[in-house]
Amino acid sequence: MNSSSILSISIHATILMIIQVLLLLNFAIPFGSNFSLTIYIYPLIIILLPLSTSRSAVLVVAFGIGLIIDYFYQSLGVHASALVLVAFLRPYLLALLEPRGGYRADNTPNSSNYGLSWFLSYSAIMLFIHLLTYFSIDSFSLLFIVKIIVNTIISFIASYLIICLYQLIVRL
Amino acid sequence: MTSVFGLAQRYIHVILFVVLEIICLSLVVNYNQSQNQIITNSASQLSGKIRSQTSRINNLLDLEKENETLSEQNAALIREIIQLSDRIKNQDAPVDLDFDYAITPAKVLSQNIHSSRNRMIINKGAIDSVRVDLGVISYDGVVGIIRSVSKNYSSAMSLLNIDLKISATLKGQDYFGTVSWSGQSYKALNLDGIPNHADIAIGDSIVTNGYSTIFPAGIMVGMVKDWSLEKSGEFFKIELTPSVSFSKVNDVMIIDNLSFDEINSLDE
Repeated sequence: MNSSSILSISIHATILMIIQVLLLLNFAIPFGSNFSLTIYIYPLIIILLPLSTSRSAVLVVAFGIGLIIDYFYQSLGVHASALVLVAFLRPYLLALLEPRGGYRADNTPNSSNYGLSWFLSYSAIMLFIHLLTYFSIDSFSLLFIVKIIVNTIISFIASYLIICLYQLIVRL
Repeated sequence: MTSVFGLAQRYIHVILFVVLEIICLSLVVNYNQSQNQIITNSASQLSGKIRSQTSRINNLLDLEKENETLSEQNAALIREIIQLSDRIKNQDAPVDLDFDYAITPAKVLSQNIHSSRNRMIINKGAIDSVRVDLGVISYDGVVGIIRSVSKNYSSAMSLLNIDLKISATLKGQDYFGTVSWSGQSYKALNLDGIPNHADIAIGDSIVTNGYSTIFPAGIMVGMVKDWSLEKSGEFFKIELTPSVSFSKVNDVMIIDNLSFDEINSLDE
């Protein structure tokens, strides 16, 4: 990975975090009085890190980004722990989804490199794990299992649509 | 030896993962319990600044000024009401029991009702002599309690926070119980600890009882929505509708019991 690609990844990550913190932070659609739909786009930063990034580097980046998001959501540790888990699982998931041709080192796991359907399933699994962990840690109790699951599903659908849309617009 | 290093190198990411997760989870637990955290102070300072800039765009300048004077007048009136009602209640008391309250009008810059530990950022901070553990009320009733303060902003736990418990009573009766939130619906709070011989009806007002130094007595908390007996049959399990609609709360007042330090020093 050279310095210009590090720069472009940092710029991309900053844009995603700014969108999350300025536009999506106060956005929530209530479903009844128990559930609400919220949108999380920042996991895309971890989803799109180049394949050559070392496992430890992905974890540290996830930790840092999670803490920055938590800082604005006033929920210290919650986003960070979910994102670190996703970062940890990423290499295993990539191995599971390995395309027939294998991966080429130093490129980005996105739709233009490995096809739309590959990207759709890869990003869906990553995002779903992230949201499920996030809502579970936020509640911190299995008493709220229904709330956790419903919130995860409705937020997943909305976030997934936005993430796919974002991928179509910003080809990176 | 080389194999030990090789093993450590192979699993370094697992070790790192475990360490980072432990840090995260301890942050989650500590942050939601401790009250004076440096991290939050700086957090609410910066995020408060950003939010106040964005929310400013929504406010027309003239209206903002007009609102401010109105909220100040309101705060003064509410202070008077609290003092008068304290005086009426205590008129038979042999000694003067009046508390003096300072009331600061403030605006909510951002709030959340979708998490299980909801907090709000308020545009008054240490500079306006806001301190940790002061009560936050709106014209409708109890909103929450200040949990951290920076120079210009403060962060309050709202009633919709599973860590917050406040003491409350049925209006006009002496029994008292604890109001808490189950983390489920933002339209329902729980009141526990009211003994089974209390008079209770749907629609009854639940108010603060003034036993804590945070809120004066008689501030609305909610209305009885439903009630049943606990398993033991000794206490009521009361569900109430909060009187404040948390998704819309905008103008609040921070209430400071000026005898607070003196009373609390008795405990030490």
